[in-house]
Amino acid sequence: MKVRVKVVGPLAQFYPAGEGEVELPEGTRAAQLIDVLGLPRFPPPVVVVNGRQAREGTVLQPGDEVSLLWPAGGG
Amino acid sequence: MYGYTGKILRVDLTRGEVRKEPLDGNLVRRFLGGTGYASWLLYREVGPHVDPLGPDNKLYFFTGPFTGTMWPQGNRYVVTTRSPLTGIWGEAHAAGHWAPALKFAGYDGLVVEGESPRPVYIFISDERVEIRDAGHLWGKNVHETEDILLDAHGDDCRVASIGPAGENLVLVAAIVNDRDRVAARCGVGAVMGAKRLKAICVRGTGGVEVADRARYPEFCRRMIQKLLDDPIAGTRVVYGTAGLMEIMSDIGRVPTWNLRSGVFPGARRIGGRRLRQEYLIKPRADFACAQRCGRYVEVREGRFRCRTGGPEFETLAALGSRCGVDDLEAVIYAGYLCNVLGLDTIGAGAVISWAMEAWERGLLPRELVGDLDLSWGNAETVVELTRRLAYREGLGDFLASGSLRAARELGPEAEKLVMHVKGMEIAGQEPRGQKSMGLAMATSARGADHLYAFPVLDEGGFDEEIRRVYGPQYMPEMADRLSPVHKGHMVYVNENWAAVVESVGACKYGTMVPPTLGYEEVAEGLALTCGMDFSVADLEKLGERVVNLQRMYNVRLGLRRAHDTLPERLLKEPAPDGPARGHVVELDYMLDEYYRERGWTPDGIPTRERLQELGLPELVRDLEGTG
Ligand code: SF4
Repeated sequence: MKVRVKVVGPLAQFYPAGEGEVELPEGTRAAQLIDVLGLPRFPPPVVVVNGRQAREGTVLQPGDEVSLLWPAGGG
Repeated sequence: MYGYTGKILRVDLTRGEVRKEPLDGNLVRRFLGGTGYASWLLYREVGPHVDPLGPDNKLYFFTGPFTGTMWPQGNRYVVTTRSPLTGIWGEAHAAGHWAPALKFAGYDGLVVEGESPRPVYIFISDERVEIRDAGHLWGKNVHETEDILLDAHGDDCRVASIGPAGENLVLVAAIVNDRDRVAARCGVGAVMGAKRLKAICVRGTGGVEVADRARYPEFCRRMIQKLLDDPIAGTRVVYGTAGLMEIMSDIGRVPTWNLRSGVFPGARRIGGRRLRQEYLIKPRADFACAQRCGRYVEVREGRFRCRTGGPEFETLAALGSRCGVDDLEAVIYAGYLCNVLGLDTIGAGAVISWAMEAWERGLLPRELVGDLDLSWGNAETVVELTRRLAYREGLGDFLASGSLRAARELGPEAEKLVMHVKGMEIAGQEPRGQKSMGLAMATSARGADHLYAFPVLDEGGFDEEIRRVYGPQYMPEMADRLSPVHKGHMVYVNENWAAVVESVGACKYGTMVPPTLGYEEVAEGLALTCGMDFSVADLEKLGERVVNLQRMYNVRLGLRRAHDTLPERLLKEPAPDGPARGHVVELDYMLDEYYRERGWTPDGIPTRERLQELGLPELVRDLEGTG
């Protein structure tokens, strides 16, 4: 299946393309994308699926829009 | 008195008198210092009939017991006053080095009273305190003022001053210390300008004595290490707050086009990565800070050439996305102008973006606008209007009393476009994209304010912290920024804690986000620093006491639930795009929960019993007539 991914803000330094479409096996969990895209785990990236933060066990669906970013922590 | 100097300085500018008075030990036990102590004095001394720009208003510059110590980021002061922008309880905060200097000179606080007939500055060199002529400084910008004062008194001094904006009584004028650290909000710079006080120049050669000398250094090392080990705090140095711009846009909470939207298509162009790659000179630390979120940046050539501190995320949002500007050099330059002319970048960006929308809708007459092109995204206009605001030229003069007053001259349609609460402009948060922020802005004692409660842990990525700070029973709703559920509790807890943080003189980074240092650490810190025994429960109650005190200041002025509201746009118009698309702020639902948590009436008024329980019996009589 295909999902659209976007690596946002400072985290995008580790994924220079910034965004694109990724082919994944059915049943891939949102959190697995961090490794699939080769992103560092410190600080732990937040995975946002269709605008909502993914939780443990959130499974991706074909056509999902996924953002990966560092925790915002401020404002 | 350990942790404190034990003295407050009072300077009466009408009489030209300087007095020193002892810090009141009972008040320290009740309010600690900082915002707590200062708010108590304001409550007692500046009543409902005082004109904020008149001689009877006062400025309370207060440090806390951790200011000037090794406590991580113990560097802050508050300046509390009756705000000329809102007419209610007002306060601004700043970091830097000025507050530690005031303490090293021997003062926990400085109260400025009266009004001088001519421009003056206050010079403090330890015991020596003088009111001096500032004729040669009046009209100078902040950097020039600092340079002249440091030349005259030595560069071991620290300066807090106002620029032309404060002199000209612009109601979004700030007080600036250490060149680029800004006590920005509530128009505190205009209060200083009305008193004709240009600057406060301090040399402090003393120190702060701590109670437990043997254990103190090891304790502070442990606290600093704790912060550096945290993934957020430990890496804050890389992008500073500017790193938030792209993230905030992605989650739909960056104010764009006067809060019409929460998504800014130009976020990347004014984001932290570009700032770092192209303009950063080096990160900057405030006193005793290992996180170093501050920046020094430089635009090397072109018409926006400058070297300055910042810009923070708030500045990027205010003068950038909010006005539709994606020219980073222009935003840096407009932020630089705010620093040197003494303006609140948030207030400046807010009034400009309001003017842009009012112009677009044909509500702002051409004769007021003059030669400016107020189209969204016009970078030149944002820069030029920032300057005119400080000097009250043309449209700048019309906007100088804040967007609400300006809009009222144009009528109800224009007023609907003002993004404010209680007269103060909303900062860099689009609350339809983060419901807790909507509630926080509505209840904050100084009007629209993200920092009073600073409920940021629902922005994403802080599930563990939420479980730890609030309890697992609030998950998962509390961590969902688009859900209004449990946000009343969240804001209640945060306001109390923020009041403690602002009373001890610490920074919110590391205490609120991430919440690495909490009540237990502050209690231990107070024991070792001051020899004072506070339990966690004592401190929680103290924070709540301070919030109720500040609320009562506003209740005494007639404020109620009806004032704890948000602009209609945020309550009724669904967000047009991004992850918050279709959302409005469910304010009433959250307010009900919040008032219940506070033990206030459904109309938002503290009860007699609550005030008694919190140790504020003196305030009970001010409940009379509140229904
Ligand atoms: S974290 Fe940032 S604002 Fe806080 S003390 Fe450090 S440099 Fe200053």
